[in-house]
Amino acid sequence: MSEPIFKLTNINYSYPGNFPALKDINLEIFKQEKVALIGANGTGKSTLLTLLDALIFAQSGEFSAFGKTITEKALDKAVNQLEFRKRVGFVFQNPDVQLFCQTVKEDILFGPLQLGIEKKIMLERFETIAEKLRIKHLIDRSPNRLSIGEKKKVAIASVLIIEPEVLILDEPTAGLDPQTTRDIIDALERENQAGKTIIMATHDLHIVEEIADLVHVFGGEKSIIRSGDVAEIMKDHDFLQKNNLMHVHVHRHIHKDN
Amino acid sequence: MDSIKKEKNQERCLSLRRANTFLGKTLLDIVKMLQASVSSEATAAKAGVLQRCDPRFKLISCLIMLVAVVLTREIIVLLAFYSIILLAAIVSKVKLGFFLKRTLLFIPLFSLFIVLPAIFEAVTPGDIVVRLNFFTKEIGITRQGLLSAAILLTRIIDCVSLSVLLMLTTRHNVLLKTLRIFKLPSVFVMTLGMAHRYIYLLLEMVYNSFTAIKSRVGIVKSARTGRRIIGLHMGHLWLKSYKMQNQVYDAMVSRGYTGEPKTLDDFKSHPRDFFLLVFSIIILAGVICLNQFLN
Repeated sequence: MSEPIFKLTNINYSYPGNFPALKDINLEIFKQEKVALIGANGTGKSTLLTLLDALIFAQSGEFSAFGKTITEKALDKAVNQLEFRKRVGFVFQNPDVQLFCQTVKEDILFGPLQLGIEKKIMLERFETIAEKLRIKHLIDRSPNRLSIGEKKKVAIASVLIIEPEVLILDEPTAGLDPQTTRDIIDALERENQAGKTIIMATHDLHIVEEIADLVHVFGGEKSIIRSGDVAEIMKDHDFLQKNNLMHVHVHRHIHKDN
Repeated sequence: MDSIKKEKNQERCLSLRRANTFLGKTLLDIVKMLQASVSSEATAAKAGVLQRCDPRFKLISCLIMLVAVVLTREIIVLLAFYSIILLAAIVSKVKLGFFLKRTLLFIPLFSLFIVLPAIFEAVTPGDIVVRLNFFTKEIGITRQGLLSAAILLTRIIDCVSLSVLLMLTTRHNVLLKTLRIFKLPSVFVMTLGMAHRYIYLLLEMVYNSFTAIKSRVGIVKSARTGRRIIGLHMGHLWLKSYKMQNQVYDAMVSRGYTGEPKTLDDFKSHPRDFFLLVFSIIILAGVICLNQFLN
């Protein structure tokens, strides 16, 4: 079997003030895998994604990416930083934090410009992505004037244009209409077919089966309580209910007592 | 006794309602401001003459014209400038009513108070046109005073109109980008752009929170409660913006930002841009020549 692209060994992370966010995380992610992190609110999914994108660093344990140990010190070197950023893309949960430029076009081109991608290649990629995600008509607009679905698509485009090997997404379909959700699922499926690794955190169990092969379930103890095949975990309704991922469907019959 | 109590209570309720509407009105005005900004963006997106010009040339030409206006001492020439500006607004598909409202309503009104003393003989001596009785004293308005006040006022109107026309026919982001031609550091221009972007987002948050408070609380019962709600709200907004600032920075780092932003300059110039520049230079030269001739 090939080497994992991400390997986490005994990872622990606490937010300032000693609020534990991740406890004893052990995880291996391989190339072209589709991985979903599921769990109730506040179980540490987003923190783990932020750590995988090397925006925060664990207080203990070891995190390695592409065979190299990732530490704050190692990423201080500009060469390592740019190398890592070219290979890993992160779509934030709130698109408003990711769209900080004045126009959609500037936002999408921000990444390639910082990473020194050649202008001609960058503009070619821009055209292709705008076409694929159906956002061509938005490129001159300010992000202030976009709907939440449009913002999400633009945020994804701003990462896809970098052509990273790994795509990390935090709640990519939360609060979106069915058509936008479908567009995003299709885009992720295309990227995976093209060889990209997809890692995402979600609450939306309806899409998990479609866009993940492997699922890691986070529990209230801020650690992974179960990992396994998507179909197997999705069938275990008792387990999902116990971990606040599914609720018992209750409905009333109007004529029940008549 | 009961009726007096009832009346007092009604009065109190009304004043509280007024205080509540004051806050609501302020927020509504902010929303209106947002809408106005959107409509000015729509004007900038129209296919008018000035909209088609390269913003760098437009900005430089506008600055040259501003210098020409400032140097002009003849009211006729200033009025001619104003006619040119109005013509430019028309050919740029700017709604004239909207343009005049934006340029003539407030700023010249404020400057009127500044130029007002200039019309009196105590400030500008000369030929008296009208004499006014001010308490026991008599004050005269001079022809020279009226003329210098009119020149100053027209100059202000010209300058404001030129700047507003530039703003209306150029998108905000493009206008900010053109600042780079003055060799401003890109991090400065980018920070300005980000401030512009997030001010709107925070305003939207304020408005939504206010609506949420209103839906739950209705009329704020006392000034003290009102202050408490506003205080809590300000604190909440501050925390939210602080959190957001950290996330925005993370989002930038995540896409390769290392401290010095790199930006794309995709301006393209056409012969019409050079024509605009040459036109404004000729105007400036004409004003300088006219001043020398009059001297």
